[in-house]
Amino acid sequence: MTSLPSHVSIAERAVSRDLNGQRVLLNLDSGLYFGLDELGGRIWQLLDSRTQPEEICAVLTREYDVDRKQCEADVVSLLHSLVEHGLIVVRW
Amino acid sequence: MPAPSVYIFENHDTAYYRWRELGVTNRALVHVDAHHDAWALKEFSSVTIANFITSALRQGIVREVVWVVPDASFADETKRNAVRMHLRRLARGHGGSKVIFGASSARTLLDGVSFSVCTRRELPRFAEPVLLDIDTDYLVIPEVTYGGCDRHSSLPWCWPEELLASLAAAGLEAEHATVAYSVEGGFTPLFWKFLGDELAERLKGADPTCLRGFLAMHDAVRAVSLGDANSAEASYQVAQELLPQHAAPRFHQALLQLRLGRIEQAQEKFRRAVELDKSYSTPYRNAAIALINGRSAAAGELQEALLLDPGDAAAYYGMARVAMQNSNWNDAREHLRRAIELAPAFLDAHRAMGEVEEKLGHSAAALTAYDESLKLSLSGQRPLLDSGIVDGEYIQVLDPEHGKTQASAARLLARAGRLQESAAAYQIAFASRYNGVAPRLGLAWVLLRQNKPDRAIGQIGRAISAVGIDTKWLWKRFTRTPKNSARPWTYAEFAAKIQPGRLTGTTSTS
Repeated sequence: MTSLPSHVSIAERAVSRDLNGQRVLLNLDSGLYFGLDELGGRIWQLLDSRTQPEEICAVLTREYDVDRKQCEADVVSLLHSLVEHGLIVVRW
Repeated sequence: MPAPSVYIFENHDTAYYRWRELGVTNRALVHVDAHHDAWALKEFSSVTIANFITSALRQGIVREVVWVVPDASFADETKRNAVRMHLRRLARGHGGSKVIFGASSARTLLDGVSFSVCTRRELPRFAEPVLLDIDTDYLVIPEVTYGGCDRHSSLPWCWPEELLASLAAAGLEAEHATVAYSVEGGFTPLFWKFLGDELAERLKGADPTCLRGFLAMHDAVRAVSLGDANSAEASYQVAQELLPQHAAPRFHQALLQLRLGRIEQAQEKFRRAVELDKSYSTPYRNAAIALINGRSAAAGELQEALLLDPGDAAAYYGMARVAMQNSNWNDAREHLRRAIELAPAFLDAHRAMGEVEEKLGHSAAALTAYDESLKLSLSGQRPLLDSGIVDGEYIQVLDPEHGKTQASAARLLARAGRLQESAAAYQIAFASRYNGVAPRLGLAWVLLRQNKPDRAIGQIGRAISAVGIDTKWLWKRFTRTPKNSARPWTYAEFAAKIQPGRLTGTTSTS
């Protein structure tokens, strides 16, 4: 994945919880647990409210001191990891 | 009986890794221990202190195992029965071979490998040097137990020199010798850890000064047991001079001074002991006692531990457990508050705080405490009764209460009307193999409130089928050995698949 997908949804077999500020994700099929840092947790929260990647980048560039290009690269990288672990489904 | 190479370590499964590093293959193993450490390896299970011998025999490191049990284990029919029960269960888990049981020995096959049991006096002759593997707990647990707690003797039932003399009398020669302290988990009380050091030194062929130091320790603990504080103190002083690098004489002296009411001196000695050997600050010098032994004995020990070290978070945790056993929830809360203040990453204390706050009706505080404990376990913090194992890319969470804690959080979330989060917590609990009747019905109730009757019915169906699973769990719970009840060998059955990975959003936030 090198560019932002147009549509992302949380996989049916993924569940998440916020543990006092740390977001944890579980793939119910693989049984693997993942922890997200603060920013990863914010991205997941946005995904959970059905915000799409373009808008996620817009939100993050408003909330953090980061340029759009860097933000997109980081979001793509995280989405790539999430896809790899079966936690989200993407569509272009 | 000196051995060419001697290795000493805390957790007994280190022996397995040491043998592998040494390239050992096809050897006879003489395992001197109050526990067999040969439980069957289950799917997903890691090498632990409870099953490392199975790994060794499956990998061809070992071609024959002789488990040398404490002498009294064959003393009468009741005691022999504990050994018999272990062997039968082992045989069932390792291919179902027949167990042949005699008056002073027993044998079976584990995965086709000979596994025999005897006392040190019945040890067979070996034609070649063996792997000698000794657990320090052997010296202070006079008999094998099955389905109950280990009972420690007030003095060692067998001293290191007696054990090694017996092995030498049997003509045993060790190619490699391994010695485990096994203090973590409460198998060897910290008080007796020095016996492991003594065994290792004797196996290495220690210098006479060092041996005189250990003999002074023997004199001292015998004097303590007779209530002769003056002689004890004098012997500890001798031991301290002869063993200047060892923490044990100072630790023992600290305990004695504490009992004599010389608290400041005791604290100073204890500080010196920990300076020499950090392992003497282990939580297992007190909190484990609260969990394993009776509550009144535990309370006394813990108060003593706090006198010795007022900053001992584990002792406060132990005090809280005792208060919880007595339903003194406010006291428990205060002790836990102190424990957390002293050690903010103390997973067990947060978890216990969750239980206490729930009992006090403080749901929000309970949820925060439960979630903090879960967060800590995922960040690699170890619960008191388990050991962490690093396994390749992931840290395996050896936290047997993880699923149960998720279910507790789920219950509180449901009560607060946070239904989606509650459902997620229940699902995580199930994935952690905490999936009995109560959590299944809990999720069913959440799903009904979310207007998902079909899925709720599905959960009720699973709850009904879980009745059978729970019965099996109860059977395991009441039949497992103390070693296993205190350590995570059954963990794989509960939550082995829960592993933390790390996915991080890395956007710069400068």
